[in-house]
Amino acid sequence: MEPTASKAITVEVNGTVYERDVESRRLLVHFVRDDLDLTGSHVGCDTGNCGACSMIVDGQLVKTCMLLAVQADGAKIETVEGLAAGGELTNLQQSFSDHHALQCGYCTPGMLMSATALLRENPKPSPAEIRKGLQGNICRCTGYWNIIEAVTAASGQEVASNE
Amino acid sequence: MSETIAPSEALVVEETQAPQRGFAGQNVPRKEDKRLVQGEGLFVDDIKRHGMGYAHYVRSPYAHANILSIDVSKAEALGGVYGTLLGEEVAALTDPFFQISSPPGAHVKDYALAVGKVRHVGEPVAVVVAETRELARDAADLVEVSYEPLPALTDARRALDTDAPQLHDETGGNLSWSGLYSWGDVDSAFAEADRVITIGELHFDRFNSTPLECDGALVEFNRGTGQWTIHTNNQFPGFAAIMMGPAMRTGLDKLRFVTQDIGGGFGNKITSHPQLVAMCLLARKLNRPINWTEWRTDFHLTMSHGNERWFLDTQVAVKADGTLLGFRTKAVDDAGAYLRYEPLGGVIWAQVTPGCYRWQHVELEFTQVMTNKAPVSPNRGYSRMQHLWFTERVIDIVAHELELDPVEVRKLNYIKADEMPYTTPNGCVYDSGDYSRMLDVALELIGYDSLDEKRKEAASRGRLLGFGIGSTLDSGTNNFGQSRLINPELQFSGNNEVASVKLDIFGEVVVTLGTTPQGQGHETTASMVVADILGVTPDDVNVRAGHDSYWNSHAGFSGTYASQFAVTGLGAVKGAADKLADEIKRLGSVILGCSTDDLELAEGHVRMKANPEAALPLMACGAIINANNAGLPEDLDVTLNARYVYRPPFEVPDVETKYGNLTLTYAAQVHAALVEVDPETGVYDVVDYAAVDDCGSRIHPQIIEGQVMGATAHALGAATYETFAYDDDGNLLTPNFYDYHVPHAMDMPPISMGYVESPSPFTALGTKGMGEGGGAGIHAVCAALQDALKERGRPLVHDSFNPYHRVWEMLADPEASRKLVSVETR
Amino acid sequence: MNVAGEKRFDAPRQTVWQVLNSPESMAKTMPGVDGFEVHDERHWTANVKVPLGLGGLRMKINFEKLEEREPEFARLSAKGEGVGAIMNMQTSFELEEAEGGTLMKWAADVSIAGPVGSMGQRVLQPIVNQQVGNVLRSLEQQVQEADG
Repeated sequence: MEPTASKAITVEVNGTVYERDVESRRLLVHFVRDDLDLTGSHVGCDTGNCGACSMIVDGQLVKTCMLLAVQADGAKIETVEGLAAGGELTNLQQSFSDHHALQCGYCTPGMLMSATALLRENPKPSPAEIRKGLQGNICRCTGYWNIIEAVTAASGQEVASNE
Repeated sequence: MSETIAPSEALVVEETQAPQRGFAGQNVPRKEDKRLVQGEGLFVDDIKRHGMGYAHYVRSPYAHANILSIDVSKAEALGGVYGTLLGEEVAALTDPFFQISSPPGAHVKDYALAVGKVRHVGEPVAVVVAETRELARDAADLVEVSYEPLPALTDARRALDTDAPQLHDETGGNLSWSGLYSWGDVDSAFAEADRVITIGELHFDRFNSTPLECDGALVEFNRGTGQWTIHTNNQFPGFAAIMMGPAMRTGLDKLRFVTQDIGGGFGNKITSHPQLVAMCLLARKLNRPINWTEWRTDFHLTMSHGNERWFLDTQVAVKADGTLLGFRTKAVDDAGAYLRYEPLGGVIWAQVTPGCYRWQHVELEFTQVMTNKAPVSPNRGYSRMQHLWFTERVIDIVAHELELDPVEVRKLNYIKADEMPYTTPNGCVYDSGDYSRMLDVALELIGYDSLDEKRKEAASRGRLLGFGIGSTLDSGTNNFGQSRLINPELQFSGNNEVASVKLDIFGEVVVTLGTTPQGQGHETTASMVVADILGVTPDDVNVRAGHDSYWNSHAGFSGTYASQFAVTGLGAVKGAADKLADEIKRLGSVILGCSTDDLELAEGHVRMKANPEAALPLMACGAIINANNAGLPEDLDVTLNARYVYRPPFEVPDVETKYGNLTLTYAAQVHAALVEVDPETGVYDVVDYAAVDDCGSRIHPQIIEGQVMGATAHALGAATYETFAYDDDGNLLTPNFYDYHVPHAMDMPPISMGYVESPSPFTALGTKGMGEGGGAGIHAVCAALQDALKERGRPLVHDSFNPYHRVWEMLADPEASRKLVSVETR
Repeated sequence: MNVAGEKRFDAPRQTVWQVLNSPESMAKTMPGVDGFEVHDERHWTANVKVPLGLGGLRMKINFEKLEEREPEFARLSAKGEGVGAIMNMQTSFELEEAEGGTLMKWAADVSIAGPVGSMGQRVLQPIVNQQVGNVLRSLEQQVQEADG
């Protein structure tokens, strides 16, 4: 059986369906960024460590640099562009801004998707649970403290000091 | 999580320049956030151009080798490949990059690609451009390069041995630059000393800040005009242009730099000019836009390692009570394979010669050498951090060896608030600051009073508790004249930044900056300063995002680096806004028929102070000048478009005595750390942490704290986890995030924050540049570890990098490090 | 990386020497050899697939015999190139007669350059050791066959 060099795939991203031909070896993150022009998700490393490419694929948080586009054929994908409906920031996005949980903004889309996935699974996480949930997302600007605060606040819980 | 504790007494405020208050001091919501939280930021790899080619580098697998041949024929034959670039082409089309150094470093030949020889693993040897990213990588694998490997030099301390491998034939050895700094009277200090402490070797390790976005560019060439447009995330376009123009034999105006959002810089995005030159040549050669996106591995292999520095044969002259009199040391600095911003590191440390302390007699012999490792370039805290770590280690070791309290020894030796402005032994002027008070705040935040109980409690769990202090300075706004202490023939001095503020036809206030922010919130803070001056709100002020040479809002030193925006950037913004405000008033005085002294700007109007009803909205002013100007007096010189170049007050330092003011402002930080060590394994945790900062007038407290936290996280990473480790063949063992551990959310300790506000008497707004930090976390963790291990044979912490296995070694053999220190009683 | 060791063979020294010095036999001892070409007495090339990474790492290795003193000593160099890895190896072996058999003392100095080299000794040493083990086992077999 010959390996396929390219394939026609169909994906639904943030509610819109796309049909495209894609090289079999193309990473999902490059497909979304380059082929679908959704450049909100970012690439920060070569080894699946940084989480800047995090998206939610069929309900699961995935590092999309570790997935081929062809593996996402038929999937429902959520990216940062799909969070704010009609320009209205979500609680989480607003909370990130209020708590200065972003500086350069490069890790932020991945952080938001990871936090979104976490809050769906655990609506009232403790700071320790938030740290564990965001363990796969690297930030070099904030030191994470404000991010933990922002997620805590977005979940409707009080922000304790010193965490 | 952060408690901001203001000191209980009144703030130390210098009367000369009271800061403007209004929006300044408030946490105005950041303008940048709306686009960034929606993924609508514009980072360099987000930019697409029709027909663009993707570039991929062919890199050297050897640390040191002659290039015997390169064959790109197979690569070029691959369908979809647009072309290649080789070193021999670069050597024909460009001149070697300007070298900052005096000889021998001056003779280094540095091009955009390796020419004839490779000198570090990962060095670019060729570039391939193709239709897709993946194809470019395939094609790069088809390039056949034949090398003759040479022995590699990987230890800077061996670089000047007669049998050391020679990197650059043109320099006659591996020396980059050396100089002797000597101030005060070191001999008399040692004659007067009660104790002389000798420390054989201290080592500041090699790491950097690994911004999450790597370097990149999208370069277009306009054949008709000979103009390059370089969309890039280089954070110091002023420097890049000065390096690139002469090399490419083109005028600087042909190099248009455009940046918008940058995913972190921390100094590591200053020296991408070799890659930018390669992309410019390719854009011209292939007649298409070229995308270059650096891989994480490429970044680790080749970019901006922080200076690795040894301090050898240090001698410290001390009185019995712990008063520091002076020190001698030999600093050996490893610059890596090429000098890209070096050897400026050889002088920049002198901005903080005595650290936070009052010693007067200093002798430092600085030797910088080249090795077969990645070229170094500025990293957060550039060159000062290394030296400040050294001074903190010294004072901590002095206290340790003389069995004095490290808190008391610091307070005894700290420069005092009432001595400010303080002139250091080499003529730098610390503008303001109260280090003792900052230390008190830190001690309170960390619960110092209950330290003994904490120790006992930890001991009951089988853990060793250690307490450490890290005091540091963040010197900001360079006097580039210090470059002449490296090379007297250089024609650089002073500093500058530019801003323009204009009032448009419909009353829009538009600001353009010369800076290249990477998350520091310039759009927001600039709008606050302008709002206060023009009497509008920050929402009314539109600050253009990023940097664009076409705005003509930049000068030779434009960029965002070296902790200076709050002084130079905001200084330029204030200057431009003041100019505009003056013009508005002059127009208003004509229209309203009064003198400018009768007028004020408030609530979006220019109006008479005595009669606020007599008011002209700013929109009307804009409309009059731009579209409705018949009948205005001939001599009314008002354009409502004000451009201002901020220039800090500097003189050229004296090259002979190496004396003079090298920086304008000195922000300070004092950190305290508690660590718990497991004596069985050497594994340790930072269990509590306090950070106190003083950056003068605080324009946007949340942004300031964000910078302090970010710098702390970088320092904690460097203290425990991060290192660029090389093997003896020059292979980098930590070339990606898999091996180079960047701290994640679970690695960070709890943190308490405090501040003191000592406005700078030297700046327009009383602000001091800040952001780099100065590595206080490294100093504090080193001190805490040494304290924790005191009862286990008193080993000495002598490296900035202390991973668990190093702590275990200190536990297992404390004598090994004790051999490095000796105390002589006079 | 340095590896060294000793191996005893029950065969006479001349037999072991013959096996070690015949490129054909050596090719059989190398694990994953896809083919080889002898250029002259001192030079030969082997195409090898080393079990590293997905699907194995293909390398073309050029051998050169640098020095020999029959039947007791030989020194070889091997230079190999593959995707992501360049290997340089110097190896030597000494043969002594020992109690009705032969004692071989061998040593090799291996360096790997390129992205694979970044993995460091911690990862590569076990792989090198494993390859060495395979070679020695195969050598044993070759020697037995030659001995009859």
